[in-house]
Amino acid sequence: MSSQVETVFRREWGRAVAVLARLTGDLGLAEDAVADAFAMAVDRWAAGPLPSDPAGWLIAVAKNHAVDQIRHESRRPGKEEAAARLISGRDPPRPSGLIVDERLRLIFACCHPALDPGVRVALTLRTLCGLSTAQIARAFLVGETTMAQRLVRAKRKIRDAAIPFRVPAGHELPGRTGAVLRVVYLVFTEGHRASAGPGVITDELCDEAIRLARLLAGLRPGDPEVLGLLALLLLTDARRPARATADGRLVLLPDQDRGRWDGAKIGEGTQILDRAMSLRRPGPYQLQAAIAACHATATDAGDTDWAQIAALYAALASHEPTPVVHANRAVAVAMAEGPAAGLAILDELCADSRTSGWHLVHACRAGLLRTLGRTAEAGDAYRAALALDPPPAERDFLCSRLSEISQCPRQLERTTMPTAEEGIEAQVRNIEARYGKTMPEWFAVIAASGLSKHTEVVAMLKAEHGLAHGAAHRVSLLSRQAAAPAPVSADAAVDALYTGKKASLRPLHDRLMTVIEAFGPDVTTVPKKGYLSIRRKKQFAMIQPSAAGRVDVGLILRDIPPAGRLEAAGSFNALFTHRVRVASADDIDTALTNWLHTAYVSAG
Amino acid sequence: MQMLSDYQAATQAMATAGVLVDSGPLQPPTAATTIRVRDGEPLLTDGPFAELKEQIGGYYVLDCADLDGALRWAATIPAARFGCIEIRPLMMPPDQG
Repeated sequence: MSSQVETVFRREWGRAVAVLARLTGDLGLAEDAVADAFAMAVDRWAAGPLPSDPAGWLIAVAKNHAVDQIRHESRRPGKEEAAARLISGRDPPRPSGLIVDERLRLIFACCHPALDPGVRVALTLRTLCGLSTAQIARAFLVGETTMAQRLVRAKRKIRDAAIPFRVPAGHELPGRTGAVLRVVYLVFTEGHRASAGPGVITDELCDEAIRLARLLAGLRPGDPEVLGLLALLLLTDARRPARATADGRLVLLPDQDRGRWDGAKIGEGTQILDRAMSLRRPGPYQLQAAIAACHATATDAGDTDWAQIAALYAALASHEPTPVVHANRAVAVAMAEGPAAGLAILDELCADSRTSGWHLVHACRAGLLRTLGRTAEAGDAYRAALALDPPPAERDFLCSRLSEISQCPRQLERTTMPTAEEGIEAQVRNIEARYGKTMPEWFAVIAASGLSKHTEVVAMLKAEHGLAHGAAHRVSLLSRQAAAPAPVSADAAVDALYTGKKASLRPLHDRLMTVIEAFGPDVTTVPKKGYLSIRRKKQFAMIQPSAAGRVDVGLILRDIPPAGRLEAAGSFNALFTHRVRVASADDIDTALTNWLHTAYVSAG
Repeated sequence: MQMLSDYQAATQAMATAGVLVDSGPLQPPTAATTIRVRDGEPLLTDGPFAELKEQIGGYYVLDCADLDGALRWAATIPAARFGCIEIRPLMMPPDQG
């Protein structure tokens, strides 16, 4: 996409989809039509100047596409009239004052309580923010196909159940606002926690969330929680310029250069928060905004009013008793009353299986232990946090803290790449300790129940044995693995990868394996679904036959930026950092051999 | 008989608003007979077609513009306070959709 079209895309996608959705009542159709219009814009606008009203042009073209689509849908032959209505121009471009309504209409449809809460954020990111399905899938840690299916299902439900594209009527609005606030908040945190990918996208999600919060505050200026959310987003976003180093490393609050905070956003945020608080109906967003304001208005880290923050977190915990709130309260208490007081709260959270699997609890505990000079325990806590698979920016930070206190670099290298297996082992130990049965005993319980479906087994374990959902899920999965027939031999599994059209790719696979096996006798392979995992002490590469007539090689190379044919793995497979496409034996050259060898060495 | 008058009031309000197409309570599931035709042979069973915790007690056909409208009216049906109401659009013939 040219940069001109891209700018228009970012600015106008949500609005164009909103207009088309309202006209057609069909979100899927609206999205397709707008996407087609943008595809056409890429060609048209590259050849000449931009039309005077790019958004109007796009919406007009999208309407034509929608009309064609409706006419061609043979199963809705009577749609001629709807199509005619679309063309007739009875819906001229709206004056700018009403543009606001279009976007709000769309977000209220996407956040309708008749939709599953889990899909609302994803749907908003897709339709209003214009994120690709692949980007959203990555953010939610699910496969692209799974995410695509969820989105299609949600759009179909909107169409078939006749969910309206409308801001709810006055008396219904209060009850419907909460779900929208939640989604706007999650869009923001998605951008803020930087897990969707580095750079542009995350910043734009924060901007988009603030824009939506402003629209909502305009719609409901007397709702203190709406104002609270807007204040919270502004006050948090004010820290963005100081939150990461130039190379993307996380900078913690006390270490941030406060001179780089955005004073205008802090001023606006505190003003809006004051207005919200004057309405005297406190709620979670206002409390969080008040906490953010305590930080934002402290002249330096030492000046922070931690006693006030601890009190605000205690109030927040009464609204939202979540582990994240408790962990933050512990940190605030530690700052106000000393590390030992905070540590006592975190020790409790670590002893509780409902919160012990959450990396931030261990990371906070590690930080306090480090402050207290209990280095060995701090190291264990950092490792426990890393084993729970934190997002990349946080992982890098935890690694650097660990390396500061660790005397054994060899051990560090091992912990920088905690394996999923280690996380599962820790979880299994917790489950066995907490619920007093060994895994084989749990398998016997499942076998005795006669249930075979995963969801039924999970429900049974929760209802009859009091297991938490995560624990029940793990026990059920492990029982399935234990019950599965003995794994087929590795050779047979590789053979199975290269059947049918992919059979011709087998020589490339064998040639790659010859190269890799020459690195040392400790190379092992594990067949996975669709690919072959290649390991030393841990996984370092994989080979996957592609339907496109080539073999893809996945690599884990921590510190090498992607360039040229050494592509970023992206949505290809989240367990790997890079991908190299191998279309012929010529691609298995010195460069690829070197990359594979580097990955092999760092997995020792 | 409070329940009956509640139902009459709710149904009357729908009629007054012009959304009511049809409605009716059903006899209890003990009165149900289920029929299946397999290989041209009718097979009768005494009872409802599925042993569910919830049983359908009645129905309303309402003419509403969208889901929000339908939800508003459904919430006024007395059974919503102790049971539940499932809302589904009718599937329209192709030339009326």
